Amino acid sequence: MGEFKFVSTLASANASDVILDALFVIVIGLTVVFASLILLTAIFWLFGKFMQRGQKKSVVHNEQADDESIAPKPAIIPQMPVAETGVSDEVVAVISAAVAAMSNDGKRYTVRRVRRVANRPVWAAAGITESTRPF
Amino acid sequence: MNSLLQAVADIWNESGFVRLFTLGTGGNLWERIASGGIGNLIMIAIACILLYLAIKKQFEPLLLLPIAFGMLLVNLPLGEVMKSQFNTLVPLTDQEYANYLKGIFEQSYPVFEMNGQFYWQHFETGGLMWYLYQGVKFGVYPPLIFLGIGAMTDFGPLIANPKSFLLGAAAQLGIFATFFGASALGLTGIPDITFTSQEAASIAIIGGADGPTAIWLTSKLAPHLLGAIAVAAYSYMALVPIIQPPIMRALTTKKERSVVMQQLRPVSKTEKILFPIFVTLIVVLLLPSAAPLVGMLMLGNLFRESGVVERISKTAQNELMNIITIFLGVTVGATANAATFLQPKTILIIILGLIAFSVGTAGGVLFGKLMYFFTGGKVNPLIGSAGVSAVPMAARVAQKVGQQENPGNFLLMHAMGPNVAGVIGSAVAAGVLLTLFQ
Repeated sequence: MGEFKFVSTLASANASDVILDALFVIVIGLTVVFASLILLTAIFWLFGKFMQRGQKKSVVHNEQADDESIAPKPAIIPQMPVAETGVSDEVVAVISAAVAAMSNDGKRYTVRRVRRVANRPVWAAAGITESTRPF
Repeated sequence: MNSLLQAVADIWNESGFVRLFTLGTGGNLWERIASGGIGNLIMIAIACILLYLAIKKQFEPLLLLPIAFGMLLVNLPLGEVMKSQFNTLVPLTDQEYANYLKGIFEQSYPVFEMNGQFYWQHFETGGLMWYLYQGVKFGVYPPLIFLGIGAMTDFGPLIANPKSFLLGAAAQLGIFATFFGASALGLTGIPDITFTSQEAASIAIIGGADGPTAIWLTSKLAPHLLGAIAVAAYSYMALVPIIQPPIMRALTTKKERSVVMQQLRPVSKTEKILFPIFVTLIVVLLLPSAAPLVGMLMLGNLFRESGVVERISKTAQNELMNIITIFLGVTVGATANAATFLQPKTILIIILGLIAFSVGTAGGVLFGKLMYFFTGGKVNPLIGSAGVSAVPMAARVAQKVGQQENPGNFLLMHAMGPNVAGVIGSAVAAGVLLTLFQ
């Protein structure tokens, strides 16, 4: 923009020059803002697709690995409790529903195990609640 | 006894109280009021109202409170908290010259020779606020605030739904529409309500609903309007829950407001780390003048997402952010002295700021409607209103208005996408205006 001069800054400027300059600013401003953000939209859209594909591959890979590890030991699986003692069926249902809602890909999932993470001190739990809160 | 009374009278006459009830010299009555002690009294009353709003009503108290107190302090006569530092050359007396020849004088004061006469440099120290104000004047504080904002912001919802960027761009319409309005006022030919292009651009940026961006641009284009623009920007940000809902309801149908959006996909850590790097590369290469704001915003976010500099991230979010907030608020308030604030232009700035905010909201909602149409009803247009920045208040408003139509609808995280995109969008818009008008 080095040599650019707005017409309205000239001594001979009239009303239509002022309006034209203002319209010019609107057009150039919105164009640059949209161009920047459209570029970012495109990049992160592609990036998202790429990452999702990578995640799907790793999920498939994990499922295969699970199948392989489960196959030789069929007797162990039925004996494994779905949830540890103290976790009610309702809680298991809620966790399963949350997993299904987040994945949102129409696939069927099987919850194999619900395990309580080690009992945290109350201040650590409060810290985690604080830092995972949206605001 | 008489001398005692005289001394008391002298102290009274030299105090700020007496100056408060004086008129300035020159100009019409209003100009004399504005430049005199009565103008200061009016400003003190305005500062007290703002303090009330900040403390009692909690209108953006983190910034409005220091702004209001800075305003109060600078309008107390003889306090001279904003007095600028200056140097004068004083001719050396014979004794000083003799000391200078012995090499004694120059140790304390620099001596200059001009046309055969020797002078020493008298250095007048500035007021406290003037020194702190240099951080605003040279554009240091707003990018540092952005560093803290970046460290506090989760861009996950934006990464999960990149289309939100477009809503953040559309909501910048308010900025450019207001620039048009402010420029068009010049056609009236009335000098008191005519704005230069730099002033119009600084007023228009209020529509970005981003305080640091508004202060950053105004400090570079129209520093004399800093007080009025900062007060307008922060007041409207506090009034988002009042200003936005009627516009959102007027521009959308009940059916549109009831749209339940699809759950956002989870975002990986890699994406969150790469996001600030890519945004910096693209935006700064495209618009170098936005580098200080966008660069600092993204650096702060990289601190947060990298997970390897937790201490720095926490400092940027808390201690640094709080210190800069104090300096920024109190010095911006201190620019609002009676002579510059009590002008017809201040009222126009307040009105134009409201227009900027409203048009920005409308731009976001209308673009949201476009997205609703093109996606076959998958996007709730209400989230477009969050594109005006004002994080996270604008997103909360979208959530609240959406929930009034459908209590089971949770738009908050969907609205956070346009909300944080609006921060980037307004920084880009500020960069455009700076490039065009600096």
